[in-house]
Amino acid sequence: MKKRILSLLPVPIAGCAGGLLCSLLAALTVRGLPRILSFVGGILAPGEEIARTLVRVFSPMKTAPLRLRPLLPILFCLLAAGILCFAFRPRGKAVGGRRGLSILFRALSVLFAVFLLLSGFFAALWLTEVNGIRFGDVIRSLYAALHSGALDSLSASAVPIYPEVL
Amino acid sequence: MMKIRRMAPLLFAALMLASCSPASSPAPAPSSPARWSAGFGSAEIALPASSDSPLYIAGYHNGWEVTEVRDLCRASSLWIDDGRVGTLLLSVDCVGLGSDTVGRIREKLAPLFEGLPPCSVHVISTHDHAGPDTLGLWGPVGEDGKHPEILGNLIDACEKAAADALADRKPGRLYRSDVKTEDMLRDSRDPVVWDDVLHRLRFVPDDGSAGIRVLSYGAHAESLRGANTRLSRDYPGVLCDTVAEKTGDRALFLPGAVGGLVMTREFFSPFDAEENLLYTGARLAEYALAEEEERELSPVLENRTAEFAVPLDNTVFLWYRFLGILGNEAVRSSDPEIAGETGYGLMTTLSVLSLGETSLLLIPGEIFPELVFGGGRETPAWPEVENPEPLCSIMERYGLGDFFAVGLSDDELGYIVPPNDFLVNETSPYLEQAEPADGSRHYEETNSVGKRCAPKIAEELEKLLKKG
Repeated sequence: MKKRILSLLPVPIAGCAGGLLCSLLAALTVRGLPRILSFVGGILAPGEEIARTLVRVFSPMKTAPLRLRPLLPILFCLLAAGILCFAFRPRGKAVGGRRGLSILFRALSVLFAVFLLLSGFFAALWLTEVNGIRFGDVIRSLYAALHSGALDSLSASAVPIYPEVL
Repeated sequence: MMKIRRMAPLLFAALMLASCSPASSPAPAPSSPARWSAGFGSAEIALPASSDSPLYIAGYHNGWEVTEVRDLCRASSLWIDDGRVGTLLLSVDCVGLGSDTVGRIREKLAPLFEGLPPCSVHVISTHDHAGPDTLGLWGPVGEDGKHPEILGNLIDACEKAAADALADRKPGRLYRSDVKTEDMLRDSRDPVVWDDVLHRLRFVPDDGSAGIRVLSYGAHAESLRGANTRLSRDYPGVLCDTVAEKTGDRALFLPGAVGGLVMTREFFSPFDAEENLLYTGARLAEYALAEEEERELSPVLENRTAEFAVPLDNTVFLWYRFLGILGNEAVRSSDPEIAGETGYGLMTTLSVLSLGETSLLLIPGEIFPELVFGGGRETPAWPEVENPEPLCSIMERYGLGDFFAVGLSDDELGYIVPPNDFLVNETSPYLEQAEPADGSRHYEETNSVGKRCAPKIAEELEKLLKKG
């Protein structure tokens, strides 16, 4: 019994560590948003004003107060750790067709675990609060605005009209 | 002997009880009659020392910078107490201050009140459209327009003004009067409803020294109009300076119900900004100094404040909060009483400050006068929607009919629009104004929290007054 429990111990440890790592990566992503936008803008719209504007607009992300929500990412990572632990548990040597199935099972488990880890990361990012507002809520509202064409009007007013400075 | 020993503890207890009884307490000192005490302070808001960041002018256009200083903006303060409780009113020459900045001001001022009666602090913006951007909305689109130093300088000025007001305290009498103005106002949105009364409070110190006047008027402080890039206090500055010059009394200005969109008229054609400003200020000063019957206010002060969440529908405000440009505390909730279409509500406050027989209704934004006094469009956008009960009617029901509304108090939520005429652009809600076929104006919705702000304020006022 004790041996069994010890063999399962890596699951919660890895799960929690993975979940916290996902949250940390989400925080770094938010902090690095201006750089990410600059990079993406450089590829999609090189030299365009909109890319530079987006970098300026999101520059407060570098220092904005963040609140992380690691619970859901931890759950995803626990599941991933559990699957990997089960898939790679010590067993008797498989022969013939069973060996092939075993390799396939392990490969699928790894893929699924990676999927769960990515889900954990995106869940962490979605739930991260910046200035008290969830990142996911802003993405959702921005998407709705983009989809409806609401943001087209912004490109016209983005350039300030300066009176002659004395 | 045994009996005495047993009785001793009882006797001792009886003696102790007797010594605590009211009959044996020392006679209370005779209570002194309640008196008003008031003091005034004022300080300039220093310009930023650093020119590394632009100083944007607030009110009209994104990205317009201050080009010249006509007169520096100020923080002016009135301390008033009745001997038991006190209040500090801070009037700040700026377009508006969010509740987060108000919180910072209160925190900075807190040490000044040690040893004083329990008190409240109310920070009210004059809604100056020729002042620096203190909300962050007038930089380039999507960028915080506040100069990094401006709020620090503003808070320092508030602290100095408050300290001077507390040091200036003197006993005296407080008077209230109203004077109706004629031909001063313009309302750019139907219906034409405004408060054309200049509300006045006058404190007269017993020692005959300079008094203090509070002047409240329901018009946007934008007599310099939209092409102006000179820093100025606009007409409230000219008004207060003229009153001070002519009477020796110190004056501070509080905006009234300015939403909807009530402003002072343009008096010159072709328009001359400087002449318009001086004329507007001078005319209002005439009204401020006009002889009108005053009534003395009994020295009883009471402050009541409600804190609540206003449902947030405006997605632009949500994005600006996310970017840290707006500073109100946001609460996420699935409760429709708290959260709007964005899933969030913004925390704010509403206060009723009673000074004797009169009250100030301190509203956290630019409320449409029809929401205070009643009235509305004959053909609103949503005829089936009912507007909330006018605030004057609620105040009257609770015996506080003698009041005046003060806008932009302790927060700036933007326009507080009647729900039956609340219309947003279908394609670009809150980014572009709606342009319905009847040609009616709906600009104010783009700078409002949402449709349910007005009903929420009426509801919270009712709850606040019901609590007693």
